[in-house]
Amino acid sequence: MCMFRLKHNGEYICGKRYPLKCSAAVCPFGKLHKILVKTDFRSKMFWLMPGKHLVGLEEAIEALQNGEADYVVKSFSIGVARNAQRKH
Amino acid sequence: MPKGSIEDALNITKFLEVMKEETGDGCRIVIIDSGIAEDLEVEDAINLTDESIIDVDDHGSIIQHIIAHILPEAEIYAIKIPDPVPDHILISALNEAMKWKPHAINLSFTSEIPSDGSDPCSVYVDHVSRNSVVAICAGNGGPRFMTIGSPATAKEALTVGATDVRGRLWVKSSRGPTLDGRWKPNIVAPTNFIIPDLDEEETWPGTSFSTPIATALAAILMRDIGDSFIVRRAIELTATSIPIVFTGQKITLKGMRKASFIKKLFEAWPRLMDSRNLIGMGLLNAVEAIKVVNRLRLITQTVS
Repeated sequence: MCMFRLKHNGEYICGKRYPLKCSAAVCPFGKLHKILVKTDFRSKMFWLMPGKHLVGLEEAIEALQNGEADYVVKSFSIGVARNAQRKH
Repeated sequence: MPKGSIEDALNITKFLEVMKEETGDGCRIVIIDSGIAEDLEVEDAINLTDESIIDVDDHGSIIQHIIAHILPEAEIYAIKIPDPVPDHILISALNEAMKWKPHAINLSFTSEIPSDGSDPCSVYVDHVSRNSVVAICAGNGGPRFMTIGSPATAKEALTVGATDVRGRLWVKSSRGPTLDGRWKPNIVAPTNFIIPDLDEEETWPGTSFSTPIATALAAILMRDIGDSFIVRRAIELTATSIPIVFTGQKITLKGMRKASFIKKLFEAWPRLMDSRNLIGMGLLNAVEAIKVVNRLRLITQTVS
């Protein structure tokens, strides 16, 4: 699961190294790329960093294009670790 | 995993000795979780959900009971968040928590999404950590490596893994490293113990319930010295080393798969096999941490 991988117009791009496409060669985390892209999660909202503004995909891409954002992170949810909890 | 009493857990972390004199008077602790216990008091609480603030998930209330058992006179504040919580609401919760000027914040919520600490939640935890110690559970994704996700990957967070009540690494305690190669968790604390005020038989496994022990210690230290960086380092540097026993399933690979596994293991060896990615700096040692901080406080007072 990579929080920087964005799907735009059918292509995966790297939210950390825009406008480069997501690939093992450009991955900022090197050999971990294979593990990171093995599974993916979708998000409707994206964080423009470092300003921490939450926007939609098109706005996020625009912000990367015009330099408003250094990088973009997918918004995600955080929860209690359910697998170890007892069922009630 | 062996069960035990909360006294067993507090004994191996040397908290029982501390509790003879320490009641938590003057400590402010914020619990950001699934609500508050019906039978315990809080100083103040904020509800960021549409439901009642009372915990019905047996999560936030358990954490509150653990902290109240260790530090009965501590001021406890609570923020109820939904489960799962979108990251922007968690950031709001952290922001609200800061208004109470807490010594420590307990966050037993995390994800398994790998991060290099540059995501907004981790960045915000770093921001809050300048004034308070933020203790975050490592997660229950072990024995796989790189299962500690945001916001437990925050650089300044006190990420807490879990051991059993005998001080042996819990197999499901999430492991590091972070996406940028930093070791995590920072320390480990016991889990799966009976809380007498709740139930005489039920135990609560998971890093969620080892984190409040670290939170309680962090609150005492933070009240005494007032510097979150020193507190985190004191907790880390005084932690006790514990043996790492491989308790997972045996890996039975053959032929090319075995060769590929060994190749990958050797490539990643220095980073993955660092024992700090399993247990951090070790098992919490309350007596030694308090001793170090008190000594440091005396030196600071003498110099000034």
